[in-house]
Amino acid sequence: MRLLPLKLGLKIIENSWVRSFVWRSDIFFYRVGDVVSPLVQILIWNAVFATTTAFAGYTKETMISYVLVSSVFIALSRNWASENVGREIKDGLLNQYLVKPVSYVQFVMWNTVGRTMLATLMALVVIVVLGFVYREELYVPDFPHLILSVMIVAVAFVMNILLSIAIGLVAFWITSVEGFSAAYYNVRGLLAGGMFPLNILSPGFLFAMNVLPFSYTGFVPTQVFLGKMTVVESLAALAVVSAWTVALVVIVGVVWRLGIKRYEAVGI
Amino acid sequence: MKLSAHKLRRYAWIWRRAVAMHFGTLVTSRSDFVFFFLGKMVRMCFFFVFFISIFAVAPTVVGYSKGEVLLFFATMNLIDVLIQISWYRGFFLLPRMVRDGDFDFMLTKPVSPLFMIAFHIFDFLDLTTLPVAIGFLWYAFSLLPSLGAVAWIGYVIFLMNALALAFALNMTLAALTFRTVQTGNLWGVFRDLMYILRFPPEIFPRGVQFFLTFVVPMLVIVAFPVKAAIGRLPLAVGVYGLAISALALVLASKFWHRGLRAYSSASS
Repeated sequence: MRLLPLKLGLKIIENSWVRSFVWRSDIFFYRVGDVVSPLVQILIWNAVFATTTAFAGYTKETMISYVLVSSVFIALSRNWASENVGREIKDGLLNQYLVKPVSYVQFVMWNTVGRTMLATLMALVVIVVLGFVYREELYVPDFPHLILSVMIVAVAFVMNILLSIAIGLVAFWITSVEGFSAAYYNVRGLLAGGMFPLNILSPGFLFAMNVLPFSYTGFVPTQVFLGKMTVVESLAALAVVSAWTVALVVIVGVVWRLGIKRYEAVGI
Repeated sequence: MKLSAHKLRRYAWIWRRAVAMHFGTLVTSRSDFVFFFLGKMVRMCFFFVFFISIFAVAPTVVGYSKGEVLLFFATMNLIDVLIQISWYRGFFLLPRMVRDGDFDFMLTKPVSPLFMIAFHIFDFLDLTTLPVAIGFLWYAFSLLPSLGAVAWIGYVIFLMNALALAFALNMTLAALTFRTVQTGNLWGVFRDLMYILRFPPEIFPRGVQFFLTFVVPMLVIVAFPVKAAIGRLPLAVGVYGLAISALALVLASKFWHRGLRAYSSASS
């Protein structure tokens, strides 16, 4: 498979930005959610730490740092590609890509990068403001842990896009992927540690989460950032998320080839 | 609009037909049922585990016992499910219908467009989670000392009031579609605000409590029924809660009709 030229990829990103800016007020309201979720979590933990000094190995400061940092990482690695891919297959809109000299999967990847970048930039502004407000409590990592956590998130970002595309491609076989996508969106934030640190639950559950890909988009890089994992453990985590990414490249390729054979352009 | 017995029967018949037709489209993708249900269950279970974990170390949160905090969570769940089942999906689809020109089909029918938009989708997917939501509520009440008749009556009255207020707020959001077509993320803000109501309002700073009670009265939706049940709702504040819902319904209705007059059917 030939890779799309960088110039074309950047054009796809530019187009996705232009489309997003058509509805500017909607972008603003979308960002409100980025404030609400971490802020409420911080307030909850403030209330909990008013009656106790430690919770599952976290102090008030490390817990607030966890909330802020994991919010940034989850915002950096999220996307909504599965719903779009599923709809384009279901409604027959995929046809317009098939007649173009562009790989559909690569187009979706670039387009998702564009859409996510815009959302992420705005999320970062919001969370940086929250970080400034809670700067006294914020944990500052050493350089190796900072770099390793950012590297894990960068790989997890690509992995998450591939995972979303793989889920969207299931539409080749089932009538609707809306339920599948909704379940995925519902679950991924929780399994990424978006509501609370996963290590407050049982070790068995934590082991399962370390095997699955979701925790590498939030919980694991945050643990690295907070220095709760050694450099060796962090490198192992980077290896796991990289392995998932390579596996998903293969899975998406296979699913696409099998799916396109049975595609009948229903909906046109 | 004058309501006669004949008109009520006709609307009931239309609603039954809309429900049956929507059910017909849903059963074509049965997998949606399963995945949607699983996603919701995982989400509810995570919240539940979160609360249990907190109360394993903290005897109270902002002065509320475990049962009382769980009652906030369970009541929010119940109201959320009832809203989703009854009208949320219908209103939520309005922006897409306006963009695609499908809303015109609603206008040409000899039925109230508000009724058609709000109630043409009965969400069977969320109906599957209703027994679980009731189960959580039962468990929360079982942790509390037995409630007197006044507390039960107060809870039920403010639960009804919450649904009326939520309907008014959703109608207002839907009416905004006629002014700015893309309102998807505004619905996201409503959902975010709903989710923060699963916690006792006292975790928020006083200014936020004031804002969520008197400016965007979301606290009236969940906090008021719970506080009425546990005897923490002052009479004057309760009367305000009932009055604000009535006022919101009147204003939302006016806003909807004004919006409808501004609708230009540009997509058709």
